[in-house]
Amino acid sequence: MQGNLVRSVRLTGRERFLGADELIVTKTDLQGRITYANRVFRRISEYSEAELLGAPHNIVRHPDMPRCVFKLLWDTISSGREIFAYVVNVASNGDHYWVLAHVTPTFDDKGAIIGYHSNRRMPERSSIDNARALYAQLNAEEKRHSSPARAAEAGLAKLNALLSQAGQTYEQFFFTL
Amino acid sequence: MNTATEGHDVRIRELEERVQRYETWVERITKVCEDAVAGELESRLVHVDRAGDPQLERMLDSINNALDAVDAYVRESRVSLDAASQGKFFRRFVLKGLRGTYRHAAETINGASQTMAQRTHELAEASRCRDRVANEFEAFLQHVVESVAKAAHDMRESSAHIGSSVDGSAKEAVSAETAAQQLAGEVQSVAAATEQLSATAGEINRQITESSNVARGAVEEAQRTQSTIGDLAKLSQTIGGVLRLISEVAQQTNLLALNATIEAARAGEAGKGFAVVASEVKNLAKQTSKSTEEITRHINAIQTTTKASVDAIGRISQTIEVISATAQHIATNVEQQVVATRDISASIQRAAERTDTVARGMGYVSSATHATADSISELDRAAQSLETHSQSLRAEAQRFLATIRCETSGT
Ligand SMILES: Cc1cc2nc3c(=O)[nH]c(=O)nc-3n(C[C@H](O)[C@H](O)[C@H](O)COP(=O)(O)O)c2cc1C
Repeated sequence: MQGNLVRSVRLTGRERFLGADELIVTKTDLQGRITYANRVFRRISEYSEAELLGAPHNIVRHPDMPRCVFKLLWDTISSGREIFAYVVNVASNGDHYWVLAHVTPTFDDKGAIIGYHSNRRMPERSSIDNARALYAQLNAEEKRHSSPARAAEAGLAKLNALLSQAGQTYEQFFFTL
Repeated sequence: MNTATEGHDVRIRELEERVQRYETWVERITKVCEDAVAGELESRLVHVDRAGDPQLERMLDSINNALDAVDAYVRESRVSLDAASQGKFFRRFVLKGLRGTYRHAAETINGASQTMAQRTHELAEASRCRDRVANEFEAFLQHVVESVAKAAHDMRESSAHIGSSVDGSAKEAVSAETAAQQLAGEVQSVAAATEQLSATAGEINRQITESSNVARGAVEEAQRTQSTIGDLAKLSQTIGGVLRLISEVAQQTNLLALNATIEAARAGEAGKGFAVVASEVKNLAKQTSKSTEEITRHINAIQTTTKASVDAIGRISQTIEVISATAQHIATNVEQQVVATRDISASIQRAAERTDTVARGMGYVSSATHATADSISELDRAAQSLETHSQSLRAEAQRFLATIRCETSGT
């Protein structure tokens, strides 16, 4: 998680698609700065390796992503667990693309977290629709708070409320999404 | 220096630089591959865009892609199997983005965790079933043990109760037996007495019949006596008549004697003897008259007595008749009495037989009661051991339940 300013990109509203057999792979350091980006990622995000290496991962952040999703992501991976999330990203030209992100910590021999790793795959269309509907709800909740931290908290509270309503854990919920 | 040589030199420098770059990348590739071989899948070839050679760049990306595929496979397999081992079967190996052998292997893993899920489900089902069975069994057992304990307790209480009443019964039976024996004896003597009574009644009857006959004889005799006395009365009246005649004769004789005396006195001496006779006759007449009077008095007395006798005999006769009738009546009654007594005697005889049976029965009861008392103490011992057994059954079952529920014994 890095405080660097997100490069403001003008959204085009055009969607890009990841191939069914394709895998986006990135690795970050403990702060979320990119240490590795594979060719698929460079192509779809339309960034050069030089631009990506050392950059914070929010370089591809899309404004429609609720803050609470990233809070949950960081809370989860920093405690040593994996997380799945539907994420919409934005390419350098303003196009967007949906991914099914799987983020995991990387451990050293002693079990200490030394970095993070993410594989992204092509999501199902129906899952994207569900995620979009859910994120709209979470965003609505978050918009009621001016402080980003508060907004993230409130969004997470909302997400947890929805989960307990469904009687599911986030993991179970995610796999039914 | 000519340009051709210059161009040649540049070319050589370029080639040398290229070789140097290649050497650098070969070194890095070697390092990354060695890491990968050593199981260190983190290393990647970065800044590939600085390779400045599209062909080299493609090769470097391909190496990275190969490592990414292996890495993805390893991460997925580890995470999905770890999840499966925690029972989170919904966390499947994500197949997307994997190709060829990786994909097949991943599919195999998913198949395995599917089976595992099924087994776990079955196991959970079985364990739930086992728990349910254990609970049911426990509840049932609890019920059984409680029932057995209660039954044993009740049994002991009842046996104690029965025991005491059996003791009572035993005493009762003994005294009943004694009483029955006594009764049998009494009945026997009553029977004998009744027999005797019957005989006596017969005797009385016979005697009464006899006295009745005697009475009848007496009445006849009385009647005969009455008529005899009547004859006697008539006779005494006849005698009375005769006596009056004699009395008249005596008076005339006296007068004659008186006249003779007077005559004798006139005759003087000569008449003296005669005078003596005359006075003698006069005395005789007087004496006769006196005797006649006396006899008359006697006859009168006889007549009075006779009359009284007749009256008395009439009364006696009446009395005897009354007695006779009464005796007849008694005889009839006694006759009935005899019949009744015979019936009673027969009943008593039967009663005596039954009493005998009762006495024998009481004897059986008495010995049966003793046997019962023995059985009851047996029963009490059985109930006691039942209690003990039910307790050990409970403990045993509790251990069994703990075992099948996989509880640790705590020892
Ligand atoms: C391994 C890894 C991969 C990530 N991938 C993305 C991504 O694809 N898109 C994204 O918006 N954020 C991604 N993030 C999260 C970012 O670090 C960041 O938290 C997020 O973009 C929100 O940025 P903000 O906190 O500036 O709003 C990733 C983080 C890690 C550790």
